[in-house]
Amino acid sequence: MEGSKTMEQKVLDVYEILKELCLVKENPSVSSNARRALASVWQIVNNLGLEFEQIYEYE
Amino acid sequence: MSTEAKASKYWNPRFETAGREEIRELQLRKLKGLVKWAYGNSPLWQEKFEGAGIKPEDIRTLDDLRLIPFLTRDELTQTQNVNPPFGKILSVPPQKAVRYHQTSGSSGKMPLKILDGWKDWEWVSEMWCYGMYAFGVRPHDIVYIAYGYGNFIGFWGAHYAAEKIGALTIPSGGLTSEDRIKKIIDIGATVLVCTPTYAIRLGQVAAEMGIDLKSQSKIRLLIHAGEPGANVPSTKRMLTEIWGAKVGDFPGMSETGGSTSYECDAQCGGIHIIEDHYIQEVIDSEGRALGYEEKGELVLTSFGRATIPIIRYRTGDLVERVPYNTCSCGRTFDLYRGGVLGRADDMKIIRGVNIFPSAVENIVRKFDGIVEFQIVLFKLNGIDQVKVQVELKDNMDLQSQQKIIRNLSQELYDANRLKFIVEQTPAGTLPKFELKAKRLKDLRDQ
Repeated sequence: MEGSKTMEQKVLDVYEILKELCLVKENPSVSSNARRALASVWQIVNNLGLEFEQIYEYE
Repeated sequence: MSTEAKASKYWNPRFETAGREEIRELQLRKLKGLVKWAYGNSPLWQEKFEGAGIKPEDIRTLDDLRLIPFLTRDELTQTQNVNPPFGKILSVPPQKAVRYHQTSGSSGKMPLKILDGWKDWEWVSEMWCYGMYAFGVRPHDIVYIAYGYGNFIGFWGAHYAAEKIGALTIPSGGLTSEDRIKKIIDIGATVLVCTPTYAIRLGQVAAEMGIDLKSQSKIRLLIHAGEPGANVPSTKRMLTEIWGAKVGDFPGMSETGGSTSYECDAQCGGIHIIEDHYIQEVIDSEGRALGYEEKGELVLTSFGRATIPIIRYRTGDLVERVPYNTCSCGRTFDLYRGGVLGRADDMKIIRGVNIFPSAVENIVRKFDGIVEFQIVLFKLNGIDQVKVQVELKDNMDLQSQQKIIRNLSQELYDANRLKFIVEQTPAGTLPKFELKAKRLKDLRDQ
């Protein structure tokens, strides 16, 4: 159930969803805004020590 | 009955209060990832690793960091000269970048050109958030950024950090000092971001306008970076008296993009290292690691911007590291006592005596009657001399002026055991600075 997820799991879920949205080709407003959002969520993922990776392929 | 969670006083409580071992484990994990990235994507780093006979998998512990060769400013300059515009250090195609900046050129060297992708650029402001939040900036603040907003990265990161914290953020590029002062008062700004030199300058201009900033402005926090000053005790005191505000020091460098350390609101006399985003070493002149309470050169490894991987970068800044519990704030990040103490290349030797401009500043700023100053080194009959030129406040009587000159000369001698020539210059003759001050002229080779 969504309500039982930890804060960390919710962050990772959003992170992965945003990566997918960055690759949407047919709507630039989706992919461009997703890219900005992904850059912000990367900070959360990094700050919490959940993941450390480069994401230029999504930028 | 519901209870609201209380906002933390730490921007990232996850690691700002983590155990030292947990911080080290995080640093190792990030270091391995960074090294693999740099080796696989930056031609310069691949050459450096191969030249040192190592591969990324050789980095297994934090101690293995010492296997990695240092990176220097000269190497970055050279690679950008030989392979313009961005050099072989670049790890991504330039089209991946969304921001361009360059170093200020204040060191006299050719400016470095820097690119950031979205993630890197958000990280730059994130580092400022650590510091600005630690110093007390909150969503209810009105943050005034007194800076030109050009190519120099300067306070761009602070601007976006203030927005990220939720504060109303006011840019002021292209305005005169008088206009900025009026706006600071009119808009009710509570936080001022600029170099310490410029905060002093605004104080002087305000006085000429008949404005007392302490009583007429609502500024409660001064956020300073870009040059030493906020860490120089006399300068800090002077700024506190001009503005009636707390004065904070937030060193950083264009090469890493973000702040590297910050002063928290406990103001213990040091600055916290952002240890979940950097590994910071202190080395002696031979490159050997130094321990706590030993002054040496700061070497940075940054886990943020990866377009230009910064690993074991020799900054030329002099620091003295002390343990985290030197500060009462509860953070587990170590500190640098006194902030950045100076630059190795700022130190001048006059007749066998080491002179640091920031140490001279600390003495000069004790005298409220001094508006601006400049240090001039020259030769007289083949012998090195040091002169401090001072511009004094307009309305001073002759006796007060002479007293300042006399006392300053004595204090400089007492501190250095070296005679300083102290010379008063006419009002308005010394340069005034909006950004970084250049107060030392070395004319000895002329």
